[in-house]
Amino acid sequence: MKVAIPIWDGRISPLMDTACYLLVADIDEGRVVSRETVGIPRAGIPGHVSFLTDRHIDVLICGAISHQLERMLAASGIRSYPWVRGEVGEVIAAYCNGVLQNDNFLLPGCGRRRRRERGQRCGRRMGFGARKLFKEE
Amino acid sequence: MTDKNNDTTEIILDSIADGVFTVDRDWRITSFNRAAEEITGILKEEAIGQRCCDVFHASICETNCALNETFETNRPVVNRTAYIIDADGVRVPISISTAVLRDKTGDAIGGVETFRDLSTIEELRRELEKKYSFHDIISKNSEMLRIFDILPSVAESDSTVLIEGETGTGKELIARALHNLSHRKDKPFVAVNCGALPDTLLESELFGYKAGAFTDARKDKPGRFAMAESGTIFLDEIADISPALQVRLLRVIQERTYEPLGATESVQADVRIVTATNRSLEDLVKSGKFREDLYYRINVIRVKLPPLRERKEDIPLLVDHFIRRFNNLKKKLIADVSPDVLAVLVGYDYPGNIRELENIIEHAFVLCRGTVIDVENLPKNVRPEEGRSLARLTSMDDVEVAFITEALRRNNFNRKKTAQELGMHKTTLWRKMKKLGIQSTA
Repeated sequence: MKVAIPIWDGRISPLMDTACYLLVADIDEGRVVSRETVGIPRAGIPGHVSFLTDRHIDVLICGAISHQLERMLAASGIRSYPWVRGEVGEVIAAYCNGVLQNDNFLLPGCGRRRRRERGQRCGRRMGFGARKLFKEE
Repeated sequence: MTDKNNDTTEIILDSIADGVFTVDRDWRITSFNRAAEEITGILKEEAIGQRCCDVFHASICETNCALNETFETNRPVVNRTAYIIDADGVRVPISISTAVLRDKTGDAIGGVETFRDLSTIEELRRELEKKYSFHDIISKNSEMLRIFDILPSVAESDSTVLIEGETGTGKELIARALHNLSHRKDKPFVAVNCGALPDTLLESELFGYKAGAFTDARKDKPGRFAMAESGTIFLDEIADISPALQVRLLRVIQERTYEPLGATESVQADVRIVTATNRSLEDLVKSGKFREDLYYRINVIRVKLPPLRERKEDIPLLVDHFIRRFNNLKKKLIADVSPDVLAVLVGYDYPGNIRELENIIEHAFVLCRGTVIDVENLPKNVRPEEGRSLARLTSMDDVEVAFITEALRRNNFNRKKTAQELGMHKTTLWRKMKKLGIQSTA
């Protein structure tokens, strides 16, 4: 399974829409088999989506993301786990171990979003009663 | 006492409409006012102690952080435009200003960032743009607004239209608008530049040919008229076609039929013809270079586009439009042009009209490294020449050079027109240019 993470300064990039670099990790049975970092061309939202689909990305873990990009990714069949923060190595390990939903990986405001949207966005995805979503399937 | 001071500061910060937050040297947020909560959608309790990029997630965090620039240069950043993604995933346009925070001894202890929500301004701008735009053509000039007004009726009429205007004034945009507003909008729009092809080639391009019509014609080739069937054909630079082709075109307009090269039978043409020229067809008719009967046939409805120098009130609108367009195309975040640039752009005469303005902005985009286009980013021929202002000229020769160069520029470096404007013979002008070392081209 190919997991992509926008990176900046060793951490998850604060905003997916304007991220410059992407770490693509091949994860098999909870272990990272290979990883590479690629530059993201500045080609706007449709460009971002085709950049990910061209690389056959299955999962995207990112920080803040616009609705527009999130919807386009969903329509392209890419599962996204947005509003995540932290050091890249720790985030990959948390994803492999199914603990990405822990509060220390959530961007500020995520709790408020969860409460407001009754689990429609972050809550649903971040594993409230659905932790297994974050386990590598 | 300190607690009381802190409370007062907090009350003041909470009462202002702009978002304000402060950070320490590790980029951790130390204060976050109420407007910042509202704009970002993140509560103060959640923001305090967090890295500012994790709270703010702005488009400039990664590549062009305003606070970082302030720390590095020790200079404030004022009104840098960007956007943030708020807690609901909504894009909010903002304007950011930053400054360094110092302690009593003058040492930097962090930074302060204020940001203003530009959503309302952005909406108003879009409304204004809607008001002053018509099918990709932007203007608030009264003459252009009159044209916008009549275009829907002209489009409905199906009559032949002649669009007159200097190069770069948007003749093809008007032709496309006419097509898109007509009942032919779902059919093809075919544009042909009559000045770009030699006459014989243009004839086969327009009318097509049959197999065997000439040596290399192995199979039938449909012409542009056939391609535009039921739609609109736009013949640009119509003044450049030969007398022979003028006759053939006249027949198409009169009888709605034509013969492809080598054909024995006529083909019916249900095509609306829109023509355009940057020369005066009236003058060409007078000098016998353009057929009078064809002129009257194509001149059923005439739309005359004013040059940009006669609609300078549109320059700020157009500059704004091109900045947004190039920001999208080139993935840049340029916010505006400086007031000096706008003054230079309004003062310039634009022999190449709107296309030239577009090229000037594109040139500036390549050279601009910040978020505001400055005079140095403009092409050299547009920038005012340093030391050439009349006040600084020291000799009569200098005054003459400045005067003649300006007149040449106004007349697109056409020496005959320049000489006429200056009231001298063109040989006299040429002699003066040679003596003073003035270049005869841009």
